[in-house]
Amino acid sequence: MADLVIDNIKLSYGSVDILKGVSMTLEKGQIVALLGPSGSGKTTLLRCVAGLEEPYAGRIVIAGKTLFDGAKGINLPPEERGLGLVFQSYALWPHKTVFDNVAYPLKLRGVSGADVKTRVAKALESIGIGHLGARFPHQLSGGQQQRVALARALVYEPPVILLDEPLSNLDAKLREEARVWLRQLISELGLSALCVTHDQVEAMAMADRILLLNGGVVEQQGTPEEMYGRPATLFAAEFMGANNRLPGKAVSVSGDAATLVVGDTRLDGLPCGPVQEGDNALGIVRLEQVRVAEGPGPNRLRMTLTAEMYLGERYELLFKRDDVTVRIFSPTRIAGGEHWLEFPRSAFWVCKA
Amino acid sequence: MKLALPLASGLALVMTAGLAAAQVPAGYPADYAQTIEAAKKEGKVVVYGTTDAAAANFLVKDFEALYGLKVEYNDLNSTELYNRFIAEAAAGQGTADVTWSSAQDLQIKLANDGYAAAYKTPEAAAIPSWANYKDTAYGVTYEPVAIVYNKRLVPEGDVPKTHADLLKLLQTKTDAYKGKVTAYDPERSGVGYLFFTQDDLAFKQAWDLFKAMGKAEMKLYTSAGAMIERVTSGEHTIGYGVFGSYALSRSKKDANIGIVLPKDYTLIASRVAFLSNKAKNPNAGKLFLDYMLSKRGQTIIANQAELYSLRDDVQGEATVAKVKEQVGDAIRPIKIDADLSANLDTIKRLKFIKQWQAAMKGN
Amino acid sequence: MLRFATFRFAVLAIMASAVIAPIGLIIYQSFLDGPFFTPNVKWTLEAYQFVIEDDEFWDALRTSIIVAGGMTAIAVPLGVILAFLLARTDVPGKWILEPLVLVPIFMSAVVLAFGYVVALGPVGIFSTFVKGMIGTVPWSIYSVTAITIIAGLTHVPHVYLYTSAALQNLGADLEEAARTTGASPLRVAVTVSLPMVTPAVLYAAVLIFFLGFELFGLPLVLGDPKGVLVLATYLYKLTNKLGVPSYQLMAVVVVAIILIAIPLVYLQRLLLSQSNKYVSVRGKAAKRAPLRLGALRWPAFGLIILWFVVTVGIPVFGILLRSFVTTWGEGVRLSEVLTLSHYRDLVDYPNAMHAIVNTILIGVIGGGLAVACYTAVSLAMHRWRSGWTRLADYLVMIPRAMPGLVAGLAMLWLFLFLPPLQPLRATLFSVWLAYTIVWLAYGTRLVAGTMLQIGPELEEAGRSVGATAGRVARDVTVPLARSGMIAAWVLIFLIFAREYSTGIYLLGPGTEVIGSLMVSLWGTGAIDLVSALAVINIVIISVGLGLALRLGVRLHG
Repeated sequence: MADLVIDNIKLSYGSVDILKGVSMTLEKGQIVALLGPSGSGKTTLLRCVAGLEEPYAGRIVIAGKTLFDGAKGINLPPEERGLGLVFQSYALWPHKTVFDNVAYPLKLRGVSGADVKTRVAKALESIGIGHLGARFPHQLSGGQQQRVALARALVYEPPVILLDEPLSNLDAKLREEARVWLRQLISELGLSALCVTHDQVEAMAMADRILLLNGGVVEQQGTPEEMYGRPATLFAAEFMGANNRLPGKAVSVSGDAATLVVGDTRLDGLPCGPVQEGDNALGIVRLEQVRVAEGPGPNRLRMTLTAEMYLGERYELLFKRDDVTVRIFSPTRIAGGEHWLEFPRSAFWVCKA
Repeated sequence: MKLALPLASGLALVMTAGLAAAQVPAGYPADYAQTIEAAKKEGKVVVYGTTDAAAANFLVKDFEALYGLKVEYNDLNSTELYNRFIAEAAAGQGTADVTWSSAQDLQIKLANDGYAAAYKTPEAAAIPSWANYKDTAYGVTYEPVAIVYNKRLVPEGDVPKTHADLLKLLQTKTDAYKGKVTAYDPERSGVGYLFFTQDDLAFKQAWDLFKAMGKAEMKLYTSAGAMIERVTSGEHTIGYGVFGSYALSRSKKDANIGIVLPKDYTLIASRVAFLSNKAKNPNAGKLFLDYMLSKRGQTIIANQAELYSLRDDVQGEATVAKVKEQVGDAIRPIKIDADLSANLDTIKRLKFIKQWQAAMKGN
Repeated sequence: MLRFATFRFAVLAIMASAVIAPIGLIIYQSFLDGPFFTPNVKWTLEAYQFVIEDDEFWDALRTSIIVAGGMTAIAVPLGVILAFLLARTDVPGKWILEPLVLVPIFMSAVVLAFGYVVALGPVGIFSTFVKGMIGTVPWSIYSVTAITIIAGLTHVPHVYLYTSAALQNLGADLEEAARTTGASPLRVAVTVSLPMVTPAVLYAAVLIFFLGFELFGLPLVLGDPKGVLVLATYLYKLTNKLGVPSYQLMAVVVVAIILIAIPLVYLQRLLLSQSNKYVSVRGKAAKRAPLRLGALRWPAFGLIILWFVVTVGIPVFGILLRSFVTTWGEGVRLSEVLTLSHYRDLVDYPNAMHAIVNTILIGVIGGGLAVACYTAVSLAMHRWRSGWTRLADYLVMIPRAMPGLVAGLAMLWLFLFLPPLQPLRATLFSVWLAYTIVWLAYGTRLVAGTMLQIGPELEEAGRSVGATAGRVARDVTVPLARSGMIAAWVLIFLIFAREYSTGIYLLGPGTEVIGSLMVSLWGTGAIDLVSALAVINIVIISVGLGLALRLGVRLHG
């Protein structure tokens, strides 16, 4: 059964439409990432679920309980929704200790003093900060603050936990650790989570499903593999992963096949979005999908190596031909000069420019 | 002890009764004891006065000692007193039992408008008739309206002894006294208006004097404080039409202040008191009014409060006798009568002010 | 459980009735031909006709506009400069300058004005000194120009408060970015910081302009000798113009001031909505390095001190000196007239002693209670997305349009004619209520400003873990705003301690306060006592300020 159903949510600030009818579901035990560039409405959607923003139409239901229904005029205040929300800034109350921050939701629920103690201790313990209870938030590092924020949102065992850019305030190294830890914790505790992020790597790493938002509408949704491997639009294709763009002309489009002409070379691939014959089009291909071939062949382009970068575990190589630039990864260095690059048919998308 | 208690309280009762009987002042009717008795039941008297509490306190303390009644003395300026009194009377929420204000005209207006209770004080015989308005409102003090001057800065020869002297001084030494003379502003101060209209009645050359004042660029204020302060500092050197009582108390602290009571005529102002007909403590009010007019109260007014007593039989510094010593018979009390409330007639008032404004421009 | 919306509407309703009742009474009075409580009063427009045909009204209005405009032109640039110097630069002695800058707010205008008379009047101490040197006094403090300048100087702190708050909320990185692109500190100030705080500055400018219309104490004392009238003193004069106090005429003037206020409040709202609200930088406000003034450090310090000396030092010196001499002025050797007798007289004067105690009481306890009320109002309006807040904004501002004396009279009427209030009339409660309503705009803005500094997510976090809006207010907003509320308490204490006109009609024996007592003594010529009382008032205010600073209360920023 779906834990969270969002149905055709619409919201505007004055005359500006922020959400133009967003729908999605979150199954029990899943993590869904709300992904999108800034201004896409992803945080607003999360805040609608939390009850901090009021849409003018649509429906939000959690575990059969209607939180919001524009048509029926239902709009539960945030405190009656029983959700856990972790803020981007963590929003720890500076005047309360770590213990009091985490204990507060329990006190609100009338949990007895002794129970509060054990449950807070357990919550802090389970996220590895059991020893910090007496400290104040400003005495903690960013990572520790994040854990406290999470403990506060989890301690009363909400059916769904909402995370707003949970990792963005951490530095790069810590972020990767926290990502793993968070994913593990959520699945260990069997939680359902809705997580806002602008980072597609983070989204793919953490989420079971991804909802890609663009300009207040859902651009595409699916598993990380689907999103990455089978983008439905140019926007989706470009947003996920690191890409090469090859400008050209679509010369034939039929069913699941499309052909792009770049210069004088025909490149076969998959159509992506509403592309038609004769359109100016872009060929999109992930960096890691392009490989250096020994010689000419189908779906290959002859290009000149112009730069190489050492990245530690591999090299990134830059090729040029006329106005087309292609970057690829390579485990080894290769000699300068011209090379044939192959764009695999199944990973080459032809999109309307 | 249990036995002794009723005995003691019984004794106390007898003693208070005895005391009360003994307190009926000499010459008062015998039934005054009943008034005292009723006043004691009321327990207190509420007084609104324009006399500042420091001066009024001498009277309050003595009265409290005399009758064992509490006095709630409210120190207000005359406009505030008027505003507060009529509003409270209209609301029926209890107001002053006795009002005592230097705004004689407003007091008479209140009496005429039916706010005062008629009451013939047993002291009436000792009060001059000009100070008794229909056995309802009584003048309590006898305050000469004085000219004050700065002894440091005004040469002895220039000190005006009469209104005519002042007129001559301003006409002959206009430049020397330009901006140096000060008075109450009749436009902004009720007292100022009263004094200047009285001058108009008493002094043939009043308008010449006012014009001379205008030519000398007289500065006008709304309070005695501002006037006296600026005369002592020398910003101005002659203050015209100041309550003698204020000048007297100030001159005791500051030797620079000279006081002249004009010898041609000296206006006598008086603070007017009456009983409110909405009084919650009417008997205590009577006691207080009678006390203020009594020899005992007037002696304190003459010697401690320094407001000048209006009784001939009171000895001391601020008394009728002392005023007469200086100006002889040239005293001109401002009669407490119906003419005063005509002062408040809007049309008359605006007409006077218009003429005054012209005079201040020198024409 | 009480819904928060219920609380909001309840507070709004209580506030509305507390504001509208006195104002409504005044407006009603303006259409009558006599006091509203006398029998046979009739509806009429005569009062309006009288005022409109009265040349003095137009003169007063013109003077008010000149004074208000002039003082805005003086206070705004000076306030901005002071705010910039203290908030952004390494001007020396900040710890002492910051509290000093606020002092003029807490000084009774009447006291300041009288101090100026003693110090700079025609025969003032400094004037006679200058006259001795150059043979003439090159200034006159009784002119419209002088009133405007003094009013401008004394209102600098208002501009300072708003501007420095805005400057402090401004991200340091914006200025640093400008520095790195090669702008000098001065250029940064003019081209980056200033434009960013312009909405706050304009907001303060509108406020000052409005305060210019209700100026009373300064023109009362300084305008006296030359008969300079502004709207508030014209109103005072109307009391006597017809012999008997004419409430309907006074009411018309109050209505005129309200009519001036309404577009100004509208303008302020407009400015506020454009300034992106007060939300501060959240979380990590980086400690910024102050701009180095270099050789200009001490001149900048000198500028602030000069302003302070002229605005506060000179008049306070005047009043202080006056309280220790029997006389002063031309030809007086001050060494011969020194005395302590005024203070001795004060000790013997029971009312003065009562007044001192009551002033402290109404300041400390009354101030605390008032802040509690302002907190309730601020909480009720806090982050309320509703058109009702617009109404609240106007409501809060309206009492400012009533000069204190009129507000006090209207409050007396309410306590007399509204049965539920009648038993409370003769208590300090009535005085407190009048003070609280008159200072509503100032107090709520103080508290609401503090609350707006709290990041909204801290409150949202409370809601999301299950606390109702009311619980969040109690457990998050109020505790986090506590230091701001304590600062507000101190400021309100200081303001209540200096108040002189509002309470006059409500005071009785045993409930005197210093301000009203001074006014009453002034009328009878007891300037000796007035000056001693004024000094004591200044001492109380200084002690309050000192204590607050000692306890670490941040009065602004």
